[in-house]
Amino acid sequence: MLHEVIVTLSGFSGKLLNNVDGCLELKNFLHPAERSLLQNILAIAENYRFIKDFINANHAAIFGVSENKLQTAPGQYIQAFCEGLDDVLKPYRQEIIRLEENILIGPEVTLIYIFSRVDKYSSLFTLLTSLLNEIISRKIHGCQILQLLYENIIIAVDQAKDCLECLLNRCHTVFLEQTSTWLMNGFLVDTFGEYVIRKSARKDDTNEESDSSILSAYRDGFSEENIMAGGYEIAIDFIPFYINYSLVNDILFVGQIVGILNENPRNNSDEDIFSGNLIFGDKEKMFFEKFTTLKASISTDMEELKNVVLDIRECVVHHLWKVAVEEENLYKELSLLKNFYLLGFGPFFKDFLLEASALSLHTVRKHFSHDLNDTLRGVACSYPHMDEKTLSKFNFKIETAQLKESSKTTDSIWSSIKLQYTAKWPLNLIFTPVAIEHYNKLFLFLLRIKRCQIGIHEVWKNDIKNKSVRCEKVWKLRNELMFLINNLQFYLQVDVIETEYCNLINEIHKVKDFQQIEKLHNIFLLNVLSHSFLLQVPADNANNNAAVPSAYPEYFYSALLNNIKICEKFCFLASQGSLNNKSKEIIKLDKSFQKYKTIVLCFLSEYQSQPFKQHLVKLLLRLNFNQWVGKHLLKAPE
Amino acid sequence: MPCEMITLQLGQCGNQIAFEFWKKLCEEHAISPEGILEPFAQDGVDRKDVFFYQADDEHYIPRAILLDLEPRVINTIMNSPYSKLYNPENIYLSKDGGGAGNNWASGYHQGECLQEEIFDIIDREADGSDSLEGFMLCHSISGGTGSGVGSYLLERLSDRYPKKLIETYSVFPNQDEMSDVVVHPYNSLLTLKRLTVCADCVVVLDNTALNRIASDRLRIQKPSLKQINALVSTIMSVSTAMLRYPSYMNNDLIELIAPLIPTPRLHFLMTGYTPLTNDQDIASVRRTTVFDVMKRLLQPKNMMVSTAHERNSAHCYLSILNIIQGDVDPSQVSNALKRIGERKLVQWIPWGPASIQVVLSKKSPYIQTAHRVSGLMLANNTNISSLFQRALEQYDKLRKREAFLEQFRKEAMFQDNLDELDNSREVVQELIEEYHAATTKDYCSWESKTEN
Repeated sequence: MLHEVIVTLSGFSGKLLNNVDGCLELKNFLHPAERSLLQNILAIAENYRFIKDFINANHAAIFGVSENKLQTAPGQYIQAFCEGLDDVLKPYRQEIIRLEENILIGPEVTLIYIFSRVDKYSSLFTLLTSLLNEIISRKIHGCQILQLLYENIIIAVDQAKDCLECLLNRCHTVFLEQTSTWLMNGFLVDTFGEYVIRKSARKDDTNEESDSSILSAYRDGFSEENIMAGGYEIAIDFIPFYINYSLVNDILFVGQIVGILNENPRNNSDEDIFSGNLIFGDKEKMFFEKFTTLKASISTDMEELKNVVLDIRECVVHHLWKVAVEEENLYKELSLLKNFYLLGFGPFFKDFLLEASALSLHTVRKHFSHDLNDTLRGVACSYPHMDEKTLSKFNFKIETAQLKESSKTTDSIWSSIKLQYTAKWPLNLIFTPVAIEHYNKLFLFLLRIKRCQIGIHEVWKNDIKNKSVRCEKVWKLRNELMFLINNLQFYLQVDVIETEYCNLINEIHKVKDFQQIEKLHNIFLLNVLSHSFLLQVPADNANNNAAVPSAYPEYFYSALLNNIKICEKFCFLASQGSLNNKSKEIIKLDKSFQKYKTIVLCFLSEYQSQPFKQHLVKLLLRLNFNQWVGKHLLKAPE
Repeated sequence: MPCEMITLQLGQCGNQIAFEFWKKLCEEHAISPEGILEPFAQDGVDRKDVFFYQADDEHYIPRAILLDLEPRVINTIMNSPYSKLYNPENIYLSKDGGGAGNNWASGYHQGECLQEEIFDIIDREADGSDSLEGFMLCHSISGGTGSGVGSYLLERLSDRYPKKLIETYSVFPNQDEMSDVVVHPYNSLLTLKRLTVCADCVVVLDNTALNRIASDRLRIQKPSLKQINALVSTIMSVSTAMLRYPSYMNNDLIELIAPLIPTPRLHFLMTGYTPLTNDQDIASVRRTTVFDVMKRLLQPKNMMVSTAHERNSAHCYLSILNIIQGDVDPSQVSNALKRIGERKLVQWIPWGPASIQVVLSKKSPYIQTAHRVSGLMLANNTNISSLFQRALEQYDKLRKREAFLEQFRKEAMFQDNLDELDNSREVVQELIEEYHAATTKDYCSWESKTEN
């Protein structure tokens, strides 16, 4: 019987166990007290067997799928976990061996003796069994195991705590292993999807609808780069509590960069085959050593890892900075973006608008973007410094989705234009699609104002050329409109764009960190957007409500937009023939212009004293420099 | 599409100032006197094609037409190192070379006779440009050729190119010294009429003020013509800098002058420039800031037009454009504007919005200057009418005595009557009145009494 007990305890189901529930043969021999003792021993054995089965089921799982119900999804973590379990069970197995030896020497060993020898494992086994059950039932996978262990360590004591820590260390080593490959090489060795970082599922673009324009090829190229830059994401539910989210974020960032650096075609030349060297230089060895020490140390203390990650990060961002600034000429690229999107090349875009205005009225939608690109390149011919290389970075695209909704007017075509820009790596990490989206917002707004200006100058030219005709009403409105458009443009170009751009360049000069540059650029864009009032949503009903509370920013913005609209109407009217005999329309336009102008000025004068509204002071200064609109008018209408 | 400008340089004075202008332009664009682009300037981002075009051998040729009725000044140019710069076909010298004898009527008549040949040249130049923006006329209003031929050309140009802007750089005579041209009040008045009716923008270069500035500000005892012309060429080159060094705004003539000129006739602009230094005078280099430059530009003593102080009328600015060049932080602009606004340094029109527009212009990278910031002001001020008032008074003085009229009567235009003179007086009178009206609140409803 004792032998049977030993066999059972070492994890094999003997007869004894099979019948443990039923009518035991043994019950005749055993005292009831001994019987319950045996039950307890068998319970331990049962747990051990379960654990052993679990190990067997899962340890082999990597190599193939069996039909075992104990098996969880295969993975490195579960494997490490099993190996750890195996280690943890080692003392127990030795205990059994010693027990067996004891029994062989002296067969008079009692059940109570056996029980006393194995009982100390009872609580550990119960704990482990419950862990295993949890893993199976909750389908705990990968780094989640770390979390499970960590949770249990907190509440565990003594031997159990030691064992759990041992298990955690085992699994953590896998984590470190993965982290180091990810950080140093930039690719994920994660066949089973266990890591805290995963490849993001490729989103099916909403604009996937077939677009036969020549740009589609270009767009595909663009989105592929996209994947390169942002193809990984953090698997939030895989992060154990003891690892800081920001640390994971850093890990994600560094790995991505390193990965891209390695894939980067520029490194394909022979000498750069070991491109890792290129990034880390002499430090590569040092980092590897650090990881080895980390793996060897049996602690899950994150400070060390954090330090290593930060060191690597610093190394990488500095390298990136070097690539961006020295090789990819960040400054040149920034000024190019300013010159294109923010109309720094004023005359160029004026020419472009003049040329394109002939297109926009009667073109087939499909080829419009093509025509625009042709126009852009055509206009560039008279600008010698605008070479093919520069131009090839920019491309027009029409947002077909928007076009379908609105009617096919000139304005709607203009507002659905997108200027696309292909940034070379690693600058595409700064000029992300979102940033380009923002640039486009500004671009369209500035282009719209420029179009107004061209129109109103045309009216001016007609006036000025007809010196014998006096038409004060037209002059007055034309003057005021031109003043508004002109000063709005000055405000945007000088007070907002040039000023912020100057700040940006000064700040960038100070840092040698790629991430900082990214951040600074984002701040620049946001500042320009908000100071250009493009972050505000115009209020829809501002049109019908005359007594609008002028204090609200959205009313201010919609009033400003309305004034631009009036200007467009005015120019349109002028293009239909002489304005001099359209006094009815002029008076109407003038009336609504005065209304909106007052709203704009009221808002500006009311809000200028508030903190963070310094830009409003500048705009007000320009719009009412000669205090022409009296102070009494600048009180908000009731 | 460059917005090309064709320069017409007429008469002795016109050719002299334009000569200095082209010299300056060549210097700024690093074009040698022979029209060859210097090797260090090959990839400049400046727009040379506004004022120059390239010949087949790639050398740069100014879009300039040189015209005079007497050969002296043009011969000087042709004997200078710049002789090869110009297109020889564009140099027109009257065959008899007798000049206009400082007589507007003679100049006007000769212009009429020569118009076919002159317009052959102008049309050829115009055809040679992609998108001609306008003409730039350099002349003086008091002589014979610049004023007479200039007047005739102004009339024809506005007929022939009704869509093109006509800008003139018109030199007004020095009031402080006795003119050797006794009939200059007649000449000036007749020219002023054309400047009012035909030109779209007149940059007034007042010799009186230029001489005063040279002697007071530059401390030159007796300023030579060359030194005066240096001032003029500075004004001309800076006022065209925006066209030649493009940036975000004000990069063609219309963008530059449209905000300055609210109504068709009030198109006479004053200029001011600071800091003014003599080439030899290094000690006078000051520290310059945007505010400093803008403030100085508003001081009457820096104004290159001598305006009388009229006590009974509140003269005011219709508009101001400051072209600031140099090393400027764009955020300074707004601060400077604010400070000037607070100090109420400027009297503005009461009938419409007005402000100082400040454009930051690039400087030529090939010219070193001692000053960090420099600025040119183009301003439309009603006070310019005092200049016309003075011209009118001088005319009236002569006319009352019927002095020197026989010279005019010789020409066909004045053979039967002097209506042209009377009519010109009316136009100038009306212009003065309009400027005065512009100082009042109800300018917008002002109507000329003499009209109709």
